[in-house]
Amino acid sequence: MSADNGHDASGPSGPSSPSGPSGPSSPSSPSGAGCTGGWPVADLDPVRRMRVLASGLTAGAYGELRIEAPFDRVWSYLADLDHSIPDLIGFIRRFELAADGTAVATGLLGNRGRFDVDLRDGWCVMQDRFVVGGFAAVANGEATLLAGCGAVRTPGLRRAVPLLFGERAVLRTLGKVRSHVQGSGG
Amino acid sequence: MSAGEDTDDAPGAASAPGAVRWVRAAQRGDALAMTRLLDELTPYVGRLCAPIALADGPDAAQEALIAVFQNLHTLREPAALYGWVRRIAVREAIRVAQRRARQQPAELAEIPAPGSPELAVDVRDVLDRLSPEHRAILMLREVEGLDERAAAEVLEVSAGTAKSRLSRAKAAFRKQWTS
Repeated sequence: MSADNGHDASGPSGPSSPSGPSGPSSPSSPSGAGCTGGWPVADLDPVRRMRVLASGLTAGAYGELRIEAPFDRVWSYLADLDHSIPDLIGFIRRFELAADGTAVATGLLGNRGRFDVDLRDGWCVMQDRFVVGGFAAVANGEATLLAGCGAVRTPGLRRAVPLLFGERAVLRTLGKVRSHVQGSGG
Repeated sequence: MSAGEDTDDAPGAASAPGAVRWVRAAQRGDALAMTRLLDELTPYVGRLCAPIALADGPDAAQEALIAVFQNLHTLREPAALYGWVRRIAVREAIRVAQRRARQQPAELAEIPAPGSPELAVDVRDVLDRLSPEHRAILMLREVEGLDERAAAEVLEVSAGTAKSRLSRAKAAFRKQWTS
């Protein structure tokens, strides 16, 4: 597919144009078709959006897992990043999220990295100079569909991808979330 | 909350409309810039895909956005983003609609004028009976406000084909509407 650099440098226009950016649709009500001005519109829930994001990451991995627990329980665990990240990522000993959306991760050897974090309901993406990680979740009946992705930003680190961010590693991490959430009862 | 360290490299980038200002950083693999781009493009793509793919609108929008993100590196000029995305979204929506073979092309007569109030009411029921190609030309005309020449470019058909397709789509729409 080739890029088109032709006409139409403007943003979307037309009678039904939305205004302003929007985040993922409500994770507790999965995406579907809506209606604006009589014309149908489609939205994407956080898991669909994570599929898109993961598709655009170089040297990335992606996985999904259904968890037999309600969305609120799953997300309240995951969104508490200071606790969930060290639980889930073996080589991170401490994770401290600040109010400005940045976080400092401390590794097992005391090494530190600064992350930018985008955390919303059902959506979390974190990156530093070297790696990207993300979770998304959406209610699936009484259960929750959880998605995870990981990628390496630095070409020199990409040989470590299968170990740190391969699909199996992502699924293993999602499995830890399931174990924790289902083990915590409710 | 920043979207990475390298988002404002182009002169005037901060004042660029919508998603355009995130393109360069997203092309370099900045995941937070990609997230912003996704925030901006999703409503637009959803509006393009749903009238064509109908119930499969979320699938079509997802597949269109995947095509956009997988090929973002080929976009040389960020200012061309929306036109490029529109072409991809319409193509993917038609493909999804055809693949699902949900609809049969309808017979075709005349339709309300662009902007007519009756067009905005319960459009979906009428769209449901049109082919994906007819839904696409109607959407480009009525939702996007494109003229026939611009719509022909998006659909990669001749101006004559677009004109006749639009005429038949409007006729079909009118017939369905009044039936």
